[in-house]
Amino acid sequence: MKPIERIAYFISTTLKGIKSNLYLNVVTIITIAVAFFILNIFFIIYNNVNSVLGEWKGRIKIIAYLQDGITDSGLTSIENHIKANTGIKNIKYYSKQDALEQFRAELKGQAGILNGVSADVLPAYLAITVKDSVLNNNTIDKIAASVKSIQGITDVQYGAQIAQKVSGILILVKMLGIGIGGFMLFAIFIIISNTIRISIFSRKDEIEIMKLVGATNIFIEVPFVLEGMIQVLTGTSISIVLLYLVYRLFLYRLHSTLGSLFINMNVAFISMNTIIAILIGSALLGIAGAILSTGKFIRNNY
Amino acid sequence: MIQLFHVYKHYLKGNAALEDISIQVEKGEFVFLTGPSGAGKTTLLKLMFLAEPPTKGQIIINGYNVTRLKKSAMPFLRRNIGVVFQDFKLLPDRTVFDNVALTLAVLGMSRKGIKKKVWEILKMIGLQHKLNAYPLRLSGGEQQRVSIARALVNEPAILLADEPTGNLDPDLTNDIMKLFEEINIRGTTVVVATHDKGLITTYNKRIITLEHGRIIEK
Repeated sequence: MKPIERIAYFISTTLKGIKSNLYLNVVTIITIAVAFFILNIFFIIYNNVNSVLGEWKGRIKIIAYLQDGITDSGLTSIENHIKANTGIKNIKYYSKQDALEQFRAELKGQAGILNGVSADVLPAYLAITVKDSVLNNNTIDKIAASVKSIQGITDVQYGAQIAQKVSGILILVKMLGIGIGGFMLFAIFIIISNTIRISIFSRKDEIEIMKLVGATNIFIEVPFVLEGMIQVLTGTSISIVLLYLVYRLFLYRLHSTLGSLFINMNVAFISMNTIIAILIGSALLGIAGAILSTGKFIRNNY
Repeated sequence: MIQLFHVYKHYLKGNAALEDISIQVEKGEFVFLTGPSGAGKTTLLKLMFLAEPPTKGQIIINGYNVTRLKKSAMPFLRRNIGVVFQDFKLLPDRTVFDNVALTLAVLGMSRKGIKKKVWEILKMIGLQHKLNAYPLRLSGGEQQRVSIARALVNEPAILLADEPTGNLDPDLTNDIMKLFEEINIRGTTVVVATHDKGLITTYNKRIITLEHGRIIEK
C-alpha cells in the first residue's frame, strides 16, 4: 500500500465508522460544542476583564505634591530619591500651571468654575507611575511612604485600595478560568473516550477479525483516533461559529451600552491566535481521549 | 510447524481447560483434533492462533516461541496462520470482496494487488461471481467458503479450522473438506477441530483426541 493509499484507507474507514454510529457522533459533537461554547464565553469575559483592568492598572499613579518654591536642583534631587525605590516606571513633573491645565481638562464642561483661580493656589506635583510588579505584590504602600518621607514633598496620594482590588479581581478571574476550563476540558476528555469506547464496542467483530488476520494495533487504532479528533474539531468549530453569532448579536451591542461606564471598554472577540490554540488543543484532547480508549480495549488484548 | 510442550490452560475459578498438552504437527500435515464438546478443542486452537496465552508450557509456531514473543510481534506471526470458524465470522455490512480483502489491506498491499489476489482465491473456491454479494445473502456453505478464502488469501503456512462444517449439511461438508485437502496438497499445514465422527472416519488423517482437557490419543 502506498502512503497515499494508506491515508485514503484510514480516512475512508474513519468515515465509515462515523457513519455507522452517526447518532452517537452527532450527540457527542453537540455536547462538545456546548462545552466549548461555555468555555469560550469564559475566554471572552476573561480577556476583556483582563484588558479593562489592565488599563485601569496602567492609570494608577502616585501623586507627590511638592513644597512651594522648590528649585530645579531640589527637584532633580527629589526625583533621584524617588528613583532609588525599586519598581518606578516613570516620573513626570507638573508645574503649578500644568496642574491648573490638568484640573481644567478633568472638569471638561464645568471648567468655568475655575475662572479667577490662579495657578498659585494649586501645588506643583510629580506623577509617579509604577511597574506592574509593584501592583502585583502590593509594595505600593512602601513606595508611597518612602516618597512621602523625602524632604520637599508635602503629601502623597495614590489609589492603594483600587490597586489592590484590581490585582485581587484579576487573580480571582484567573483562578475561576483555570477551574472552569480545567473542569470542561476534563469533561470533554471523558466524553470523547467514552464515545470512542462505544465506537470500538460496536465494531468489535471487525477488530477481532482484523487482529486475527494479523493487523497491528496501530493499524486498528488510527481510524478510532481520527474519529475522536474529528468529533472534537467539529464540535469546537461549531462552538466558535456559534460564539461569533452570539457575539455579533449581543456582546457587540453591549459595547455601546457600557461604553459610557467603562472608559475605552471594547468587548473584543477571541483573537485568531486563541482560536488556533483552541483548535490545536482540542484536536490533541480528542486524540488523547481516543488513545485512552483504544489502549484499554485494543492494545490490552492478547 | 506447530509444537506444544507441557501446555496448561487454566481459566478463573481454577477450572483447568487444558492439562499437560504436548503435541507436534509437522509441516504439510493434515490433522483432526477431536473429542466431545467441552474437551478443550477450541481452547487448544485459540492458543495456536495466539488468541490467548497459555498458563504454563511452551508453544512454538512456525519456529517462533509464542510464550516469549513480544506483543508487538504477534500480528506478524498471525499472518502465517489462517483461521476458519463454525460461525464464519464474516462482516455482514461488507461485500464478499471486502471481507476477503480485509486480510490483505491489513498487510498493507496495494489496491491493485488486493484485487488480483482476491479474484484468484474466489475463483479457486468457485465464488468469483459473488464478488459483490453481502454474506447474509449467501448460503451457509458459500459463507464458509468465503471465510476460508479470507483465511487463505495471504497464503499462510498454517490453516486452523474450528468445527468448520458444524453448520453445514453433508454435501457442503464434503465440498469444504475437499477444499481443505486441496490446500493441504499445496503445502499448507491443516488442523481441523471437529466432534463429527463421520468426518474423521471418511477422511483418513492423523487424529489427536482430547477429553477433559487431556490428550488421550495422538
